[in-house]
Amino acid sequence: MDNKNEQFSLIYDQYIDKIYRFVYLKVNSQEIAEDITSKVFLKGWESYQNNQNIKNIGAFLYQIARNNVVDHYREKGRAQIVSADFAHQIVDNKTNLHEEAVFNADVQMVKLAIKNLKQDYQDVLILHYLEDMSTEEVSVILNKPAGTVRVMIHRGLEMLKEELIEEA
Amino acid sequence: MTEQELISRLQALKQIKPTKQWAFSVKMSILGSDTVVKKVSQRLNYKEVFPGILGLFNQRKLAYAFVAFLFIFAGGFGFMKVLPNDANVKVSKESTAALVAIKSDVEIFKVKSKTLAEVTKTEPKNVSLAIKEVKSAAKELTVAIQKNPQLVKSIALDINNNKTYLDILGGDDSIEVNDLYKTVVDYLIEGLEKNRINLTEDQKKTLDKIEGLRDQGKYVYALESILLLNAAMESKTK
Repeated sequence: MDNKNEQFSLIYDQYIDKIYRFVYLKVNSQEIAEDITSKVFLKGWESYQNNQNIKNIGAFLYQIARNNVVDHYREKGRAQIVSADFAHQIVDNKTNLHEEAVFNADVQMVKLAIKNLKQDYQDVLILHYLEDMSTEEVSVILNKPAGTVRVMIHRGLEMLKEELIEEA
Repeated sequence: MTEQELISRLQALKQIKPTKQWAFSVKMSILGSDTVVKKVSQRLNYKEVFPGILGLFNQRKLAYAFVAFLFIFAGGFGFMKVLPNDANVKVSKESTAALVAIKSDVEIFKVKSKTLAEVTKTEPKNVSLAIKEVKSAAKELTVAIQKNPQLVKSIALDINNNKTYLDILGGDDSIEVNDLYKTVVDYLIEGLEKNRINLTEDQKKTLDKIEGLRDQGKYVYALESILLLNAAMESKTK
């Protein structure tokens, strides 16, 4: 158990910033990103402990993260329809004053532009340009052919450019 | 906008990172308490890692916020230099490792305390196990403090702020936690006593009262009073 603990500790250190950044760019809220990221590593640790045959732990963590973000938006969509008690969750989707203070205006624009893209295009751009993954590595995470990923990267950049022009 | 410019703007997002404190607390909560996590359902509120930053709506909480500022931004060793006691402690690699280790023990204690509070409300059948975990964590933390008493000031606020989760403890269940508080209070009082000559008359009287609380076994009140005294002393040296 101690050995697994140490191994996962190293994995945690290697991926915590990456997973957090990945999630944050998709939810645009520090609080929600922290919540989802912690769930990702909790689930990752549980799977790691149970000797599941995880060949690529990084890809596994990103897949958990993607799924949790989808679940988050699914829940949020239900909450908005069901009850006004969850109104504060809608506010989470907007950039708050603290985050505005931390990031400069340009970064804010790019953040918002990325968030407006479809999930798959967000993922390819984040994984390829921010996490420096090759198209092959991205294709493993997204479970798509490498050729498709290359096309998506190109289209994703075009869409991002249009979003930025619109915002400007 | 060229493609290269666009990619550069995109890559500027690499500056987005979690706070170190949050990342540390999550790591400790996952890897430090995996047994509890398996048996009870919990959701940690990670904003409470440094609960010293309280609302500023009365004098006492203003003092806590000030002390929390010292702990967080001055750092463990910087803080020890700011306080008038043990001001010339030399930072060494061993001391840094000891500080990290003791903070880890504190985080584990806090996590298990929070779990106890939550389990009390949501899963009463698991309370005994949760109490056992808290007692074990308190005992380990006490031993850690006894090995490195010079670090007690860096964790006193966290230990104090954790007390709200432990209301359920009483009788034999509270022995280890009481020992922890007593250990912290004893070392802090020892530090203040060494510096008694530099205290004002009012501060000396307050220290006497704190020692009275300690002698009566009211360690929680004694700790709270020590933190307030230190905050007041620091505000007057500015």
